[in-house]
Amino acid sequence: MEIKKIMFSLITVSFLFTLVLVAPVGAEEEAKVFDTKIDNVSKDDYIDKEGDKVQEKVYYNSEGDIVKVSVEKGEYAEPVSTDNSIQSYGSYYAVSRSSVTARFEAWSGAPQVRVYANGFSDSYTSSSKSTKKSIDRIIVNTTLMMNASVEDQDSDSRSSSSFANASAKQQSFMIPTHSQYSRSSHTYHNSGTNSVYHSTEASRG
Amino acid sequence: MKQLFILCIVTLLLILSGCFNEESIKEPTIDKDETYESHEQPIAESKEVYTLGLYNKDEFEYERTFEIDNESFKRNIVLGNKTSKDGSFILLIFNHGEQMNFKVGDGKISNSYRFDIEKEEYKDLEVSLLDLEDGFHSITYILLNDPKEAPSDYETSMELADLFSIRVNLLKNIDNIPEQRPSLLTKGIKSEERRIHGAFLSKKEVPYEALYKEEMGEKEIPYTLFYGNSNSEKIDFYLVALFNYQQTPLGNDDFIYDTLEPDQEKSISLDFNLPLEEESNYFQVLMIPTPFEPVSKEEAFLPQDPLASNRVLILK
Repeated sequence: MEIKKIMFSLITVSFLFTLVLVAPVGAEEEAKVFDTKIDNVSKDDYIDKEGDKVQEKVYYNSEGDIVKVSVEKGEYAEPVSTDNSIQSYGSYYAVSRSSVTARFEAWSGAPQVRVYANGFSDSYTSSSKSTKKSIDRIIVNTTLMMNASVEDQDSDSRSSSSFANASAKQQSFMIPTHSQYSRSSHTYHNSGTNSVYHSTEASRG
Repeated sequence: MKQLFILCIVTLLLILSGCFNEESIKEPTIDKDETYESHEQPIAESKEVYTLGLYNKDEFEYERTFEIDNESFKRNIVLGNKTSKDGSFILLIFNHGEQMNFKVGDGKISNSYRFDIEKEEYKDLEVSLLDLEDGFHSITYILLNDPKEAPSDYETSMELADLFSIRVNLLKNIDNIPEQRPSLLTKGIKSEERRIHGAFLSKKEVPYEALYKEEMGEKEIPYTLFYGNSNSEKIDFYLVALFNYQQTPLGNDDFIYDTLEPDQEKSISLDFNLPLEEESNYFQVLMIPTPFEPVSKEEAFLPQDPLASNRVLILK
């Protein structure tokens, strides 16, 4: 009986602790206007575990609080050609992937956890992935699902491009009762080649 | 002497005809799979992907707009299964917002074609479009994955939205794509914030919660159709509802034609009330974007490919 009481207490404390961690701050603090004017940006370039170049930008306000964060892959890499089909014609090495990320950021005036689903589609000249290659069109459609609902869908469709990135973000505040599910459909179109359809998934929690 | 001359001529003709026959026998046979492989990319060898190409018999088809005189149009749709699993698909073809009849090979005329495809294999479908009248035909070939797969959860329902497509424009006895457009839907309610890109079937009582399995019973099933555009360019499109992969009206309309500004979403409240003959039934909505977009050898691909909604299983 004692053990049951202890277990019940532990579960209750854990639940309340979780609420405190992820819940929006109180009404009084919500009334305080959060300064979303960007004062400073820090950039971090790194190679992720898939071996791809990633650039993360963190935007701060004058008080040093994070206003927003963006994660971009491929966008800063120069494509071989932004020209038309002559140089983009033919073989390319495509790489697709999905991820689910979460971070604290300004949301309705207060820092809260927001979940992102990210879909990345890239084309390179070879498997070494050292040089990007433009192809006729790359499309990526990304869906973020939480608690059986679509939180957001995002699409990126680019012509004469070596990349497409789509990030779907959590729209409504909630305590996730299911894992957060991300799915991306990647399509690669190029002159003289069969179109390629690739789906990737990721989940968190 | 005359008889000998005729005999020589006949002998010579026989020898010559033999030579020609020999030549026709020696004509090299084309390995179609080699042709298809030559148009594949390295990702097809290393990842679980499908590939899709348009061919004219054995030749890769680069063109996307065709000026035709005949009532029929024939091309090959070639699907490559580069995954490690056998697959099954259904081919549907739309002329603007209307599902059309077609024929695969010497098969019977139908408005859908189901087929299986083994892993690491190609499926070559010689598709004939028939009874094409004068005018502009915006043709969309659509392949839907696993037509018999019933979603058992919302994740599967979303996975079954995968769709592969090819667009061609046919101009029969007409020089250009007409400027006239269908009437726009006026009932779509604009959302305050966009969540959906493409089409999505939602529970009516909980917006954005995926509809994936419903029991019909004696009542109709209320639902909300959300449709949105997350791209940076305005699009026009058809919305087409499919019940067991046959086109069915959306409300009072056979199909919907509408436009969406960048980052815009609209919704319509509808009821599903079709009589059910089968125990398990499938409901899905397609968005067919930019039907009047010119496509060509140089610009073969649409700014946005067609999209399917989540698939819903409706039980009798």
